Amino acid sequence: MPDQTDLLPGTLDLLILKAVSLGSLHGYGVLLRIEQISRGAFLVEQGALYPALFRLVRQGYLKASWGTSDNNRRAKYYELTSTGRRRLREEQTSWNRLVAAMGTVLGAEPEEV
Amino acid sequence: MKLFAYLQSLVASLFHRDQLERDLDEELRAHVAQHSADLERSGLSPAEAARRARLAFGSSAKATESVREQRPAFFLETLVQDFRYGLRQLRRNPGFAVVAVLTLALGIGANTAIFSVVNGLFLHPPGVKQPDRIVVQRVRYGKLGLKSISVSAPDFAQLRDSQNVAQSAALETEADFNYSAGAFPERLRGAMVSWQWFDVFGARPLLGRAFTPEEDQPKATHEVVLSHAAWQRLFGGDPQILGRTVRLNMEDFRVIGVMPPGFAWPNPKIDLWTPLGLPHDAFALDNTFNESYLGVARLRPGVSFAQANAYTKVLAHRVIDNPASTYAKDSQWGMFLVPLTSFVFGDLQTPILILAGAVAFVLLIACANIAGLLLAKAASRSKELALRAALGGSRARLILQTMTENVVLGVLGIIVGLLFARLGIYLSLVAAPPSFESDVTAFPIDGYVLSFTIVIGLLAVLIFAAAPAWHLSNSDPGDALRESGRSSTAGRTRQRFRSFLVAGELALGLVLLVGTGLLLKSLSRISQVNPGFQPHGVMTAGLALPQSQYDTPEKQIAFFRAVLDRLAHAPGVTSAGAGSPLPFTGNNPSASFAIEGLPVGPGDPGPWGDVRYVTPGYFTSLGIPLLKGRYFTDADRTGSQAVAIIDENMARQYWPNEDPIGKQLRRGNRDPWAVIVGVVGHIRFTQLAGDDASTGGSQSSSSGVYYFPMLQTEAPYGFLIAKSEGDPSALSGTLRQAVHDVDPNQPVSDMSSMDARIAESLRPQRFAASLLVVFAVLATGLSAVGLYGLVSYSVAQRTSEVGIRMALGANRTDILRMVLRESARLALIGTGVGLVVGFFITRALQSVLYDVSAYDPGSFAGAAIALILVALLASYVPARKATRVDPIVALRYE
Repeated sequence: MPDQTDLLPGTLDLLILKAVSLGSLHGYGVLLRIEQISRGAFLVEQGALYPALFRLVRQGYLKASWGTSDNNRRAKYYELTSTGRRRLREEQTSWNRLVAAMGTVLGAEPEEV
Repeated sequence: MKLFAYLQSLVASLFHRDQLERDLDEELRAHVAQHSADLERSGLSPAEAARRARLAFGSSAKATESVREQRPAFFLETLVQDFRYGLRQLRRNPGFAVVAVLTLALGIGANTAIFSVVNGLFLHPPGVKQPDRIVVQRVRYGKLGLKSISVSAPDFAQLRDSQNVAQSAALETEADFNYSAGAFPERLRGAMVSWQWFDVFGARPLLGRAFTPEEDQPKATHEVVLSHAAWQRLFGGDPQILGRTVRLNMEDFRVIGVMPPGFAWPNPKIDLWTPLGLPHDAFALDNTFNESYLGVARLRPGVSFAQANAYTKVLAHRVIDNPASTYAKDSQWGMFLVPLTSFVFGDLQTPILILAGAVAFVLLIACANIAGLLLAKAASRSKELALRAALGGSRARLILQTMTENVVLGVLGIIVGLLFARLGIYLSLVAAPPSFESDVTAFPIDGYVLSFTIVIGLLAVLIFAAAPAWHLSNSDPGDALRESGRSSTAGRTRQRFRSFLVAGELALGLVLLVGTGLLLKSLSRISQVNPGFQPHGVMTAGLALPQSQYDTPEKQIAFFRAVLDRLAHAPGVTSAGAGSPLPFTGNNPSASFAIEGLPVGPGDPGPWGDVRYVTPGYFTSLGIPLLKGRYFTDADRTGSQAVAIIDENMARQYWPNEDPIGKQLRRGNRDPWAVIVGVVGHIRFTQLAGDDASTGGSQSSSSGVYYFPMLQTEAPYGFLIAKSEGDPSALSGTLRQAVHDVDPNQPVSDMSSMDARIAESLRPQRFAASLLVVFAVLATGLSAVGLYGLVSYSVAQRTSEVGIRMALGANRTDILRMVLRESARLALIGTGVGLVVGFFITRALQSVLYDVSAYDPGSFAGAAIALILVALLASYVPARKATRVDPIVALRYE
């Protein structure tokens, strides 16, 4: 997908799944939630969000329904499906493994070799 | 679950597209609104908050576009959209659209026309079911030089009775019928067929029925099935025709069926079919070497051609191993099958392949032309495309879009091309040779033709779209935006590529010109061949006496004597005669004979030659030169000494070192020995060039000819020949009148002058050559248009350069020379490449060339000169435009 330059490829999907797993959200809410839980480290480009959301719906990880937002606007809310939840767990495990491995590699000292 | 979600989304995106668009729109607007509300809450003014929110969201158009790309039906959606866009683009640029569509349509139309002829004649002839399951039975005589001739009734009986191989089988022989209804009797073309004839071809009657086995019996042959054409012509398409009685050969026949318009086997001009009704003894084994029938069969389902052919060879061994006769072994007799399609394709294969190659060249040139136009257009489009790329159109999407534009072009080209093909077939049928004689319905645009056209149309799109797409994918949008329309690198490579295309077009055009030149030269050589006799001023007409009325040789001979007597004394006639067969009627029968005192050793099939039955006037009217002895005279009649005349070839073969005059020969064992009284010159008999090939029947070419006096034996049929000092067409009335005076019920048929018959024999070659001329002109014209376009474009691009040069003192001639030098270079490159390619390709033509080498330097040089002249002419027009450039205007122009 074009223009996901700030994030590692594939990480946007994981971030969205995680954000939505904490409670159903509309698109703008997803952005805010990611900003909030990453303490501002990740700024998702707004135009890239919707294609990702749409793709996750199509793949069956999210389902969307119309609802009313806190300021009384119609908004589309996204929530995890059961496959979405399973996918999140898998992604989390493999991500943790990757991070641990990278940590070991990057923490290696000359005498360890 | 995942699949379900996908399907749901596919259905939604296909059928609820508007709903989805609205949803997306609303969702994105809600997003911006919420963001702006948040910003407002943090203290910004509403207007500023809305502005910042929009800015933060970025291009909403781009977001919507990328969401759309996620949709499963995205591909279809954009296809429709791009198709509409493509049409709009073409409409915006009508000049380009018309030229491109017409160019493409010419290429596609030429290919479709040739293919539909191939399809209609050979691959899927109309009115025939599964033509690939039909086989033709043939025999050969290795020792006699007969490679593939028709079969005898016993040969056929063997195949017919092999029901494990043949599902149905039929035998046919052509037979003409005298039909008298109106004031003048008419000769109808008929075929006598065994009862399964129509089954073999899988043809069903339009009205009524086909023959039953009971009707296919000797002396029971009084039913007739009409062809659609005859039904229309003779009976006005009368729906009540069934059961009606028609008089054919003075006998009553009952109409039992009418065939549909498509079915015309064995002859496109067939009028009617009657049962063959062969007597039982015709199938006796001692009749094996008496070939006069076309044998066809439909293979049983599951039986392959190879199996059937192998089985036929086994059948042949029954004859070869027959202890009672060694003739089959001695003459290297054999029996085999040929697929119907290749039987019909036969001699036409090479010319058709040549034409197919020619039209492929035309299409290639058309493609190169369109590619050139697209490249020129790409120059003006490049900014638009770059803009779109900069605004977020993905490169793949842009390439896909230009591709769809080209497909739109291709579809239009296919449609117009089909129209051109139809028109082309219609026009060329006017000039078609007899073997093509048929109306347009014989070459319908059926599923096969349509698929072929679509495939080559799309292939053409791929070819002509490749170059611009390649350029597009290699160009940098920033570059294109900066490019001011001239003197940029991209522009130069584009121009160089166009030059390359045009040189290629010129090369292809040259190859076609060379091939056409060779064929025309060969044709003119053939028509200068001396046939060995004097055809000028000779009028001829066919006669066939009905068996019922002229049942004895005496009656037949009396009839011919009476007619010839009248003819000889008619005004304007200097000489009259009769005989069978006549030169250049396609008929050339041959037969074994015996020479007195020449024993036939074991393993020797014996003497063999072409046989003719003629009156004395046959030689004098046709001007066949007498070399030795005498012609026949009126004294050679029934009851007098049997005589014969041979031609120089036969004299050379059987009496190489002695005088053949006075030697004796005979055809059958029971015939009297005939004394050879004369030797005449050899004449060309079926065609001016090449072998005197046979056409069905037990006919062939042989090394010699022997003549018997027609009025000494029997005369059931023959051609009347009358010679005049002037225009022979004046004699047609004379001929008709002479016959009418003797028997008003006898029609004459096939009336034609000898010169016309010879010209007719060249018609297939003329037809192929004239088509090739059309294609060569088309190809050269298209490449000239390509060159014209290239030079015009380059002149337009260089207007300011020309202006500067002129301001610096260049005169018009210098400018003209500058532009022409460039196109002369292209023309020379194209010619050079074309000469080399042509050198290799024209070899394929050698087999159809007569007395001309495939490397004939004259044809090569002529084609090269013609091409260079055309190329210079094509570039002269735009070059002159360049000389008219006003330096002031040109320099101000930017």
